[in-house]
Parts: sequence; structure tokens; C-alpha cells
Amino acid sequence: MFNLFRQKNSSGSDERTYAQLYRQYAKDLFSYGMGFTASREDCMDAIHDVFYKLYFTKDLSSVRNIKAYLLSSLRNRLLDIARNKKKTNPIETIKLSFQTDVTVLDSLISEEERKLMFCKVEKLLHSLSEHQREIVYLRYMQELEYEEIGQILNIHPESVRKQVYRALSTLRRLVAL
Amino acid sequence: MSEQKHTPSSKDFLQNDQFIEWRLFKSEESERYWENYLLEHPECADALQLAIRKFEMVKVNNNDFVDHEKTDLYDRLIHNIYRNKYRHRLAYVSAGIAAAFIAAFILLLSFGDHLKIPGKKEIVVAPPKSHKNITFYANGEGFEFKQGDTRFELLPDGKMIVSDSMRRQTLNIGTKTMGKLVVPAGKRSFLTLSDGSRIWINSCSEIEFPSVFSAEKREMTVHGEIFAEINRDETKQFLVHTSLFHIIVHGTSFNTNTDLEFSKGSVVLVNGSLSVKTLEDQTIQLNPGQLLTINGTDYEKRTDINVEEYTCWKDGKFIFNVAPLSTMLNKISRYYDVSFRFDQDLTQMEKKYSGKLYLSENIDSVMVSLTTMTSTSFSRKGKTIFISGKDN
Repeated sequence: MFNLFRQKNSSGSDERTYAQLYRQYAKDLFSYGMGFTASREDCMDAIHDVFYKLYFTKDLSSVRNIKAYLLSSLRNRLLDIARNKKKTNPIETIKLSFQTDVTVLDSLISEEERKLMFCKVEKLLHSLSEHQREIVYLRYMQELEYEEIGQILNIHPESVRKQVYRALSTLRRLVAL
Repeated sequence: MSEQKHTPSSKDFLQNDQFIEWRLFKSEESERYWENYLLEHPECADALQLAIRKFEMVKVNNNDFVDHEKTDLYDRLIHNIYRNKYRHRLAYVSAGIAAAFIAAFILLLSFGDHLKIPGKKEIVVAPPKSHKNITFYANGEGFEFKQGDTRFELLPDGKMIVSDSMRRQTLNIGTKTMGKLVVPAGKRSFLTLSDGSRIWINSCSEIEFPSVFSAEKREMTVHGEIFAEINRDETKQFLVHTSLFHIIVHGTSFNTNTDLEFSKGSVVLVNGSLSVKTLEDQTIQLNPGQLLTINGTDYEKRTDINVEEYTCWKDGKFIFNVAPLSTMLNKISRYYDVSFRFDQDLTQMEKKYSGKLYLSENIDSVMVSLTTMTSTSFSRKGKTIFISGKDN
């Protein structure tokens, strides 16, 4: 579908494929964006901007994975918005804080098991750095490869692998206590 | 490896940290480990499969659009795309706060620290109680909204759209009506005025406003805390009335907070410009990044502040900069509508801390962060939270 959009975009955009792209990926963008802000309005504004820019982007030939591309665009846009907000305090460097929120759906499992899993996963995520939590989210919820995660976070895929390794080592240490 | 007395059940796997790590990280190492495990223990295949399916119920940041949000956003997107195509211009438009003609301010009616000390050596922090739900009054009628995230949008024809995660309805309130929105403890709201100005309303706040602004001026009355982004209109001034002062907006983004009981109020200007007129008829001009605090008849202007500390509540977090525990508990009690019981002496309440608190939907997550930050521990029973020092 993305390839279709890519072709059509260079000749003259097709609204139907564009709409399909939106329908497919808007939710993922929303879920990711809400990790950086509690404001639905700000999140939706950023998603608007990402798709708006996409519509007018002529050269998409270098994009291999559209989901990673969109999530990356969203992250950058949220960074820009945060940067603009902080204009009154220029000395601070801008860093995006990713917040995780664990929920456990209640089909298939008992209330007891649900509470158990909630506590375990919450505790585990709490022991990680924000950076590592973002990686877990992108891997577990968005099902992205290390390479794609690296693209979104602007780090080398090896760096992602190292972060995962370090996270697991932290956890082993916790368990050993 | 020791003799296993029984084959593990799915529940056993779910309690196993290695299993959890595997499902969350899916590292190459863990994939190989579990592949191997399955080869060595084929009798566990069913239990393992069940555990995997059960674990899939765990979601991180399971947020989604609600109701018409997704389609409305798409409509807005297409609208802007066609507007741009028609103008033959390429612009990176943000429908958010980057628009050039907005004044954003924060009105802080600072809530005094309500510390009640009942008979025993117990300290209680509880939010002021008035309404239970977000309530809107107009034309002598009151409308109660049970959903915690209800948002309101005024249209120029006297209609008001009320939406939340479940539904969206349109109320016809008339063009010459005064409305009042009451937001109790534990709730927050968002209001778009008839000129498009956006107001974020914090817990324990009220705002009175006309359904449609008159031809000469725009005004509203606020009790409590709001963050406002006021659209610039050269022809119409925007006035904000509080019981402690009046704000004359020229085009700003600001936060304001006023508390009647303690006669304390403040205004933080984010961008744009505004002036504050005190009850003694003094006019004070504010520049972006400045904080004005009014305490009775005294006032103080500061430029060395971190604006984000004052506006962060609207983005779902609290930023504390050497703040006493009592202040932190007060803010949380209003935001979540919970009461705190603290069995330490008063000096512990004045201990100061710095840090960020993310205001997730789950009060327990917030309490875990808070107690980690302050080296205390907590237990919760419904809406009452007991806090004790960690040495206990």
C-alpha cells in the first residue's frame, strides 16, 4: 500500500491510498505520541503535522519501513513542539520523556493473575531507564526490529541491542537479590 | 537441574521473570533459550502457549482515539491540505500552539496548603469538596457529566459541543447566555470559547463565560487554576476576572491560579503580553517568562522561574522544585480526589523535594513514584491513602 502511495505521490497524490495509510497507522502514532504528552490535543496536533508533511513529501524512495518512518516523524515533531514551548528557557536542552502505562485486559485470565502480571511488569518497567522503557514499548507494542527502533531514536541498532542487554542485566541483578 | 515435582502450569510461566523478559524484549538470547527449553520439555508446550496468550493481555500505553477523534482529525487534515494546495504554497502548519496570534497565560489561584490536624497525632490532607462531577450551568439549569475527561466547545451560533470518550452531544444554550463550568477534585476539563481561545481547567476550579462573546469585548471569570491560549484579536480586548485581580490580555499564553481562602494568586506568562490590574487599581505589565504573585496587597514579579513548573499540570505532570511534601500531597489530592493520612509529625511535611511526577490514570503508579522520591511508603484503601516514613 505504501509503495502505491509512493508512486502516486511522485506523479500526483491519490487521496484514497493516503486515507488508507492514515487509517492503518494513526492509532499507532496516537499510542506512541501519548507516551510523550498527556494532552490529547497536542498529540493529535503532532499526528496532523506528520501526515500533512507526508502528503507533500515528494521523494519517499529512501523509506523502507513506513511505520518506523511515521513514528520517527512523530517523535521529531513532538521534539520540535517541546522546543518551541521552551523558548523562554533557552539554556535547557530538550529531551523527550517517554512515560509507560501498563494495563492488563481481563479476558482469558483471572483477577488474581491480572494483578500479578500488572505488578510484575510495572515493577520491571520502573527499574528501567526512560530510554529502555521506550525501547521496550517500540519492540513489544509496535513490534519493531532493532534497526527500526534505532532509526526512530536516532541511534545505531547496535546501541539498541546494548540497551536491551543492559536492561536484562539490571533485571538479573534485581532477581538475584 | 533438580527433579521437578510437577509440570509447570501457565501461571508458573507467568510468574517467571525470564518468561516475562522474553515476551517483552524478545532478545535473540531469550528466543534461543525458550526454543531450547521447548525442545527439552515438550510436555510444557501447552502450558507455555497458554502463558504466551495470557501475557498478550498485557498492554503498554494502550491508548486509542475515542469516538470521532480519528475521523475529525482526518477531516481537519484534508481541509488543511486542500487549503494549502489552493494557495500554491508549501508550509509546515501546526494547528497547535505555534500559530502566530495566540496569547497563552496561566492563571494560578494558589491553593493554600490545607493541613488539618485532628485529635491524634495524625495529619490529614484532603481536597475541598463541592461537586462530584464536572457540572455545567446555563439558563438556570445544571448539567452533570460523569466522564472525567469531558471537553466543551462553544460554537458561534449559541450551541455547545460536549464530548468525552464515550459520546458527543450538542447542547443549544443560546447566544446571549452566561455559562458556568465547575470542575471538582479529581477531574480536569477543556473548554474552547466562541472565539476559538482554548482553556485547560484544573481540578477544583470554576469558570464563568458568555456562550458567545459580545461585539465589544471578551471576558470570563475564573476561580482556581487554568491555562489559557487566547487568540489575538486587535479589535476586542480579552479580560479575565478573578476575585483577587483582573487580567487584561493583549495576546498571550498564560497560567493563572487564585485561592480565595488565602488571598493568594499568581499569573505566569508563557508568551505574548498581558497586564494585571490589582484591586488597588495598580496595573502591572508582564513579559513572557515572568511570574507575578499577589498576596493580599503585596505583589512580587519574578523573571528567574522555570515556566514549565507552572504549566506542566496541563501536560499531565507535576514538576517540583524544592517543594515541601505538604504541597505535593495537596496537589495530588486535588488532582485525583484522594485524601492523605500521614502519621508523622508536622516537620516531616515540610521536608523539601525536587522531581517530576507523571500523572498517569493509575493513582497507585503515581504513589509509587512519589514514595520513591520522598523515601516514604504508602497503602491505599479506596480514596484514602496512608503515608508513613520508610523507617517504620
